[in-house]
Amino acid sequence: MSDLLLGRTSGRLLISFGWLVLAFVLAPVLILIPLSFSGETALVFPPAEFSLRWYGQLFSDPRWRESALLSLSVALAAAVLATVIGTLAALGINRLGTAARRLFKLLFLSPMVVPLMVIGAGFYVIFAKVGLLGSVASLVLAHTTLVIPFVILPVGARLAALNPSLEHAAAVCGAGQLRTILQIILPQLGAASAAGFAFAFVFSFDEVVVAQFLSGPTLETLPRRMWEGIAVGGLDKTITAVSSIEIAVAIAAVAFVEIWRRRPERMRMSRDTAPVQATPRSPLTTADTGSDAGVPVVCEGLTKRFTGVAAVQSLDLAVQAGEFITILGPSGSGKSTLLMLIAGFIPPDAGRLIIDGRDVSAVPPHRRDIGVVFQNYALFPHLDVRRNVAFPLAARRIAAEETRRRTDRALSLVRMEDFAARRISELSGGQQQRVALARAVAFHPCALLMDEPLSALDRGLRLDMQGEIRRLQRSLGQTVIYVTHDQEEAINLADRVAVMQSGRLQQVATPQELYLKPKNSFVAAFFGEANLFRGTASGTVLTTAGGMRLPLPCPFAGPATLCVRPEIVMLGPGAEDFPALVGVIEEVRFQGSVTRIRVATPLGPMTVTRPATQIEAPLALDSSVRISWQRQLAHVMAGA
Amino acid sequence: MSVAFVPANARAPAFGWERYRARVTILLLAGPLVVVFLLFVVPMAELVSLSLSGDGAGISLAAYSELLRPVYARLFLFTIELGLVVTILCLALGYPIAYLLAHFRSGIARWLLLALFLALWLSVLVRTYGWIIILQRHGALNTLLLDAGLIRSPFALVYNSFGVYVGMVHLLLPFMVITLAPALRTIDTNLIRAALSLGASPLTVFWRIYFPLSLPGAVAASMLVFGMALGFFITPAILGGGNANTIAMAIKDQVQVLADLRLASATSVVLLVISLAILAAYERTAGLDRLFSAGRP
Repeated sequence: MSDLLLGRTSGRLLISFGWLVLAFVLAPVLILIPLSFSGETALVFPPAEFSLRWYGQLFSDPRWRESALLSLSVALAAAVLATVIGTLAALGINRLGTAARRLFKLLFLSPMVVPLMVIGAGFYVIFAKVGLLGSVASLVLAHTTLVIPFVILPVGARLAALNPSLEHAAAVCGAGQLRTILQIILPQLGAASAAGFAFAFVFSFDEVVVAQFLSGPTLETLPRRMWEGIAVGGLDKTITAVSSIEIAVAIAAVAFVEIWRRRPERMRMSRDTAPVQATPRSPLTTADTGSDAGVPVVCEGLTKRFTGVAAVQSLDLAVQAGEFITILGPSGSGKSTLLMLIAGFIPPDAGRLIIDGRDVSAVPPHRRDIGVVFQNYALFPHLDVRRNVAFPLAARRIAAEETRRRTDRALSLVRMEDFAARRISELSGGQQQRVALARAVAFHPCALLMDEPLSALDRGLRLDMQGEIRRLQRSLGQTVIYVTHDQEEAINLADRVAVMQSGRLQQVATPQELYLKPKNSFVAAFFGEANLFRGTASGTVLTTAGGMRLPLPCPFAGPATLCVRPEIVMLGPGAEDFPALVGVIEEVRFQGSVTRIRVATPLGPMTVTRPATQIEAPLALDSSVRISWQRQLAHVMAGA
Repeated sequence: MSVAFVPANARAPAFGWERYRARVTILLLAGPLVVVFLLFVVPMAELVSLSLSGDGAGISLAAYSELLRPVYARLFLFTIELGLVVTILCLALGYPIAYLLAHFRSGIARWLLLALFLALWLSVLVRTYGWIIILQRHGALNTLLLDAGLIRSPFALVYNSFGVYVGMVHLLLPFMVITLAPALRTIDTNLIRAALSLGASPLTVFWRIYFPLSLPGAVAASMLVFGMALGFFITPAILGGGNANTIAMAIKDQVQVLADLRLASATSVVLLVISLAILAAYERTAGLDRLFSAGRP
């Protein structure tokens, strides 16, 4: 393989060094195997004659057998206990806040770093007090404590890598905590728990230091017997036979894991090559429409502060039944926090949330009956498409027949009925998006929340999906609250757009109204392009700080901002009774349907757009041009 | 628009999602906490109290002052020296290997990874025993060298500190590599490309860009290895042959030969404090999260 920093020679040197280290790692392991098959009593190398003498001795001696059985049962018991306790601990630790998580991790992992001799001494003192010394139970308990970290490590790593939205997704599907843990989280931990179990088992099986402290002469575990043989000079060659068996088992285990990890793709896919179940298509107009329709959602003075800073500030918003509203704002404006408040994942510091006339501020998310489509979809990776869509119905204990009917209908609504048996990992981004939609509407929610659901798709697909979402919303009559930072998306989808900034709603209006009559300069600049002129209004004239007098569309008084959209600006001889305003053309850019022109004026730089087909005069760079606009087309707002 | 405001159901308690979730978290952690408290915190606390107990009532530091005697001071010093040397050797051998695992996909990288995991899964006793066979007076290595005519009489390779170093490096190298390799893999190769495009020679790029970026990972892995080396017992006991005694071996003697539990407790408490300090330092520099991902097979 090519490497950026190593040339050919040094690369070869490194690889040779790798082979040397490989030999160093394997030599003391592999040398035991040929030795175990030699008949001589002395530990000489190379072995002279082939013999099974030591294996014969090993299997004929009941004391070795007893030791092996004892070690196996202790290791099995300790590994089972540690897997249960360690998995619980990892689940709990993963749910804690940063500071508490750190503390608990330190506590639960410390048995791994404290020297075995120290732990052994501690157990010795304690078990002597309670009279457990020399019992199998003491050994099992001690080993369990030692190996819990070996389970917490892999399980914790797996949990940390899980999509945190999965828990939220399960909750909005109506699943309580127990169901979420059992059906969504635990099924994803299989491999990690198995790895933890294996590490725990091996460690306990090989542990000798603590065992020496705790078990009296009667309880000789396998490593203790080996230790005694080796410590007196390794004269008992039966140990080579025991070691060789252990090595063989370890090689088999590593090989098994390696083969299992690289099992061919077709084996993983085998479940899905099964013929796609032909599900009876149910037409859109089934009997149970009515219940699909949305209800009003009202926020009253909702406030949420994070460490003193208001992410959402006394926000009032009334969404009507069946209305499609988009929350539009730059990142950090608090729009996602608002969504989480409505979904119920964070409690408001003040204010109420009223859904269908009922105050649901104190209702947990899994009882709110709100469908949520998450930014990264949060589809359950271990369930196929059908089970994902059926999950909210299962969580509501809906009968199997009804579940099947509603799942089919939800899938047909998003045209995914042919993909019901697919795994999530086999779907494209757009298909995953459809499944997420189907899951969110399958249980006839009161309202749908969507958190930038299309941001991961490319532009073409995004436009298609916008159409689909709009069509779905219309046909169901759903109430939709849709968060986005993309104003084009907001216009395409919404009945009304709520522009949000710094935790406050700046304006809630139809796209047309937002564009033509923005309430303040933030809305004017964020929603579409605008030339803004600040000054003091008096009558129908705005006097700018530079003393320029601009005409206003209507009488106004006090500090004001005039918003002039780029397309109403005229270049060359234009509107009458307009003050003499001359600018210099700085830049002309062809942009497809429009040409964008930047003009330097005494009022500052201005942007002007013209349909590409309507460039009146030749626009030479650096040429002067008269600027004007029809005064009725501009818009004046309070505040400078 | 008219909305009929219905007051919150009075019977339902204020039931925030977070509080609800926190309750379940407490339920999940309750069992494991009891286990760790009874089987880890209590024994360690018992060691501390035992080490401070006097002949009569009250606290006594007698056991600790005994640890200041030259025999124990020498043991502590040797243990620390052993840990440092083993850590440096592991880092020197492990860094190139981790580099190989992190950036090469050729056969050797795969075989090394498998071999290191095999070594991790194997009993310490078995691996130590293998070294006796290789290193002893009539062992494989001496036989090989004698037959090749390179030496006249066999070297003393085991039952001294040389044997202990070899055995411990063998045991701890896998830990060094599997903690270091993921850290090296996270180094953004675009930084390397950028440095090369700016005209730096590969050697300069390594020393000025790659190596400094890898240092936190190397420090963290070294701390882990050093901490483990301090508490080692089996390998020094077997391969040292009585000539390389560590502090862990002293604890065993104090309990089983001297039957002086108070002294054993004091020695244990010192080791306990050192290892917990290393754990805390590890958490501070590297974060235990890194250890979480390193634990993945």
